Amino acid sequence: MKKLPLSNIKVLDFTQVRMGPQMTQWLAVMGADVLRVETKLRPVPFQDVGRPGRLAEPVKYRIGYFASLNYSKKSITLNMKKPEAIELVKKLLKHIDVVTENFSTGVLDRWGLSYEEMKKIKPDIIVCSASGFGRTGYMKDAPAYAPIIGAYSGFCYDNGYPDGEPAEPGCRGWTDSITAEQGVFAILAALYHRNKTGEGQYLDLSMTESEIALSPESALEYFINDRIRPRQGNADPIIAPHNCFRCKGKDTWVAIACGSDEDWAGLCKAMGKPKWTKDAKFADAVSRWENRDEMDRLIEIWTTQHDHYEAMALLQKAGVPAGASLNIEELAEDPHLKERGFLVELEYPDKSTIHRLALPFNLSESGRGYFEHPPAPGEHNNYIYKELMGMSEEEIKQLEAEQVIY
Amino acid sequence: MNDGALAGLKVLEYGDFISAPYCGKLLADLGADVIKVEPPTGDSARQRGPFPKDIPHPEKSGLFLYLNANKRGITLDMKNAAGKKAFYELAKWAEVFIENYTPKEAKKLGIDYKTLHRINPALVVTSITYFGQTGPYSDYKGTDLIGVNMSGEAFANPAYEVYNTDHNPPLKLPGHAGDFLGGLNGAMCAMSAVFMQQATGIGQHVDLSIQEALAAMVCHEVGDYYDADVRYLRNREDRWEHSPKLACKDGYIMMNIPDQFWAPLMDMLGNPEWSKEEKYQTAVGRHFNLRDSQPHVIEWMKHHSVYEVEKLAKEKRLPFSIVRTMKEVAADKLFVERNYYVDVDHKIAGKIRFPGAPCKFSATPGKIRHAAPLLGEHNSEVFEKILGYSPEKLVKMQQAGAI
Repeated sequence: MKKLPLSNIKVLDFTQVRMGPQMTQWLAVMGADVLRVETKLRPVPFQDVGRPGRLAEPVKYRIGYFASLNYSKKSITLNMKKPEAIELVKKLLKHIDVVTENFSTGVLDRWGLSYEEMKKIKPDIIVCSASGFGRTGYMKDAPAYAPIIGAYSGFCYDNGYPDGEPAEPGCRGWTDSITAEQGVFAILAALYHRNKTGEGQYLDLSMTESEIALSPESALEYFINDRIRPRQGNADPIIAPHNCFRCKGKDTWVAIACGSDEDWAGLCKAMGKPKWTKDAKFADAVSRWENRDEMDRLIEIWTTQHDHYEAMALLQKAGVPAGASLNIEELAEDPHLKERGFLVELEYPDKSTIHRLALPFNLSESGRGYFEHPPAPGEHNNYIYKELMGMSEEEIKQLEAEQVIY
Repeated sequence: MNDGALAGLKVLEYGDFISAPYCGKLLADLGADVIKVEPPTGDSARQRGPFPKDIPHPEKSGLFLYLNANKRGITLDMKNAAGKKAFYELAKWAEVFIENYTPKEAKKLGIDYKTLHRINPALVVTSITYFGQTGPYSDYKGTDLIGVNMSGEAFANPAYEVYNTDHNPPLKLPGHAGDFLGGLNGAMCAMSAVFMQQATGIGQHVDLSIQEALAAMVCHEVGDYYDADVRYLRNREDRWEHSPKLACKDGYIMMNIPDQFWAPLMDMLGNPEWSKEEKYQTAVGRHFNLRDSQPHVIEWMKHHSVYEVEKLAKEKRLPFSIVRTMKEVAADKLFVERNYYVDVDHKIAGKIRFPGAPCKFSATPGKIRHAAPLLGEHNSEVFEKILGYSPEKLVKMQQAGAI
């Protein structure tokens, strides 16, 4: 059996929607027991949703977006509206290392499960509380969704074509995903500290602050030179060529970036124009940057004669940084990613299967990590309530009848 | 005394520009002892701005200073035998090593996993590359632009703004988002390997691919393709969602309006006649008639300023933000209340303000202990204190061009 980094860690997961579940998915793939707290009273938002209207029949297992974010986890059902459920959580906490949540500010406090309360039960507990604007400050109660955070943090203003409008990033998950990953890093650091010192802590993770920290160029420009950085599109402030070029097929493109004279010489050679390296307009980095519009037009004459994969292969062979701009289908079928085991097949108990992307996690001893089908609601009730907590079957049945385990 | 959550963790970084240095920064800001090795010519980020008053200076690059605060900096020429020997001695000292060269380059430099594992079997070697250690593209050359294109990220970007696929190419994300993301993913994976190192004493190779780190962000789109053969197109017309961005009289706002906010939104609009139509009275009706309702909302916005809308949206508690420039972000008192920014005093560049850490640790808050190192600033400290070299030996190495 593969050794997994977090195989002795248990996470109690209250997170919802995208950012939180993506965070705990990392922990699950790294080997932690991630116990999703769900309730039959309220189906998980997005649980079966992919593109609306495409599901011809109700599915037996949860697929769609739920599956993309929740594979490898375990599910327990608990109706948190019942005081008995809260008591049950308090008992369960003794077995838990990390608690994660991304409710509106104050929900856990109202349940009597604030960090301070949980700490009384489990002194070295680590609680990661993820939110749009942080759990302190005047915005702590404001509703947050990824596009709002993108606008608030300045990221959307930066994104877009230089001659166009500010734009939401095309990938729906950007802000949620980067925050999720900052959260995973913080949790791992807090666990490292706990293992060394026995001290737990509370982690206040903000989407807005994650976004600014990960794309600091505009903040740096403003703080250093008191200036708003203009929207750059595909251009680079000093490197040229640095663009996406049309290829032969419909809506196919290849990206090319030449950061050195060597890269440029390779490009000229591949295009059959070795003399361009001597042309005064393109001979050095500064000239190339100043004459980039003319140069881009000339490069495009060559790229439009080639398929985007072919252009990439020819240029890479010549030592030029180049990449086909993959669409979703090409990405999902990419031979390189397939060979690296980045695409995984998940099997449900009825032997039906789905395919998903793995995580960019790949260690020599642990491989791609732990994979299991996305859980059915309450699939692991027995494992947790009976095996882990030692409750009797009667007790569990009673709580089910009272809609506590529900 | 709080020294940070990662106090005591020994890290060696031989990485250039952004991805590996950002990985090192995440560890250093939480207290890890990160020794950054630069070639005698310096990290290439030193050549990139922003520079104060746009005057290039290797000790004044905002990007370099952001990425390398809290680290100790030394110079080593890996082509020089004495330099390489000193590097391997540091590899024995370290618990984590971070690099970002292609597998071929790493082997040539002698910093590949096989070599380092032999020297220090407990070492966690973190390799952050555009295409990973294996597979047909592994030695392809990459940059941030190449990475975002080969991950589906650029093809999907921007949302709603592509009016003509022939005119609008796939679009890079702002800054070097892919490189930063690679550093973040590298730090997470390295920390997981450190856990196994703590428990079992074994080191391993972290194979982090920036292409995969970026592709993981489009997991929903790829899931739709696998489940239902959905192929996303770039044209605004082919989008089934609606843009949450709206143009006001004097700027743009972002407003994400899930159905539970329908009533307060109509309140804000003054409950116009059109909203009383039968088809808008149920959630299902509103969902299927969104394309009919949208033009009314768009029209209303055109007659209001962003600040008028902000005031009303706040009253109604609608999810809302003005599309803000950095100037507006910098003036926001939220970040002062949350103590987000950090101010660093650098010997040559002076006082500079940086974005802080995205997560607040209650017991071990991250902090800036010192500014980014000058080129070779900690040579004598590191070589004398950690490796036990004599000052005479250091002079010799300097004369030989090893440091």
